[in-house]
Amino acid sequence: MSIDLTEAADGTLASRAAEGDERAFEVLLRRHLGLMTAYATRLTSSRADASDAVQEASITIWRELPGLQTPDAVRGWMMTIVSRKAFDLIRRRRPAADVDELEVPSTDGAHDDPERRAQSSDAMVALRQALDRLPAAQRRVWTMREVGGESYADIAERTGSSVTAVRGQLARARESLTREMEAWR
Amino acid sequence: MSDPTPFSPSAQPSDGPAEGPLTGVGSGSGADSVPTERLADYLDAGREPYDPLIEDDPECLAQLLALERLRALSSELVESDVATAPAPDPSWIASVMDRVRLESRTGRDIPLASPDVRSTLHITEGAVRSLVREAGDAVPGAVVISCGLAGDVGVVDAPIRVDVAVSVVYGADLRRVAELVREAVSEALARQTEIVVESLDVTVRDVHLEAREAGL
Repeated sequence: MSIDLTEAADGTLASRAAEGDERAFEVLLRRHLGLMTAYATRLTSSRADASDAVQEASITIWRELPGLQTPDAVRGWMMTIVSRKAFDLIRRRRPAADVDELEVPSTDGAHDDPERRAQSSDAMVALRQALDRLPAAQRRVWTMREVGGESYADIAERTGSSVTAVRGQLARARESLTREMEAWR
Repeated sequence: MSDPTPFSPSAQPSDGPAEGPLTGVGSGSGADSVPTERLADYLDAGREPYDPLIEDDPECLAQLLALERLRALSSELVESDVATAPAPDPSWIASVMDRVRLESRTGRDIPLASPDVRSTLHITEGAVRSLVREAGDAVPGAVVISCGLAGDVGVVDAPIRVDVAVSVVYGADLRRVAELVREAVSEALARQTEIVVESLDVTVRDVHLEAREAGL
């Protein structure tokens, strides 16, 4: 009779998975899969790509868990691996293009899902549309910060730029977004 | 308003791709006296320590509140993304777990005495840890967090130090649960392995709430 791990703390699951407990890993993965998928979908602008990126990320998470120094912070660490894999995928899709210049149409499904549209508040609809209008590079930086909760240093590493540049892009994204929200309100 | 503020980041070198002068970052927001970067940092810091330059300037304050609202809306957006994401395909999970099992962590080999001198028998470190987890988990109110095996596990009869960390359910007698875990692990190791246990320490590292009943 196996113990129920569904209520176990993230840190407990991460430590157990690091020592080879596959069941603990599965509970951890299921717990954060929704967020991982939402994050990858926003970064890649594609459900199919997001599914691939999250799958790659999941295996990498399992592989690298023994090296994780702070098991309690596993969720944020998992998110950085998701964005790493999402960026790998974006680069692979368009090897010739500069990732920062890549313009991927946003297809987050908001337009074809009436239930979702009804659930969203009007302000959120406005935010979705404002995000769609951002340049892709700004949108990704904003997503890594606000959805992934990643550090400026991690974002700079992923996008191949500097912390200063990341902060600048983030500020411009926030300005555009607040301006549009204000106009809408 | 045109005086440069001490918060201007323009002194920072811009070593990235051409991003334009950072002093231009606040342009158009109507809050030029304090750049958006600075406002966002102030918000990140929980508006502490109190900054009169921001709080006492109506335009800055308006932009600060707009950023705060944007942040709240962003969390809402993520929650809605997660809530409306399609449920994971069972075959997707299964294929991930198949790959995980292919890379199972067996760890070091721990020898078992063999009646036949021509063959050697081993139990893996991973199997011992699994055994320890099962024994510890079986104690009501305990969940094993980790199990360390220190010592020369590859050598027959080498003394091994076993360190077990557990989380104990809120409200339970910590000392009692730890002692029961110690007994259970000790008994399991003696019954199923030939490890010479030099010491067996149980540490209560966390306290958790009871898992919900009814198996939901």
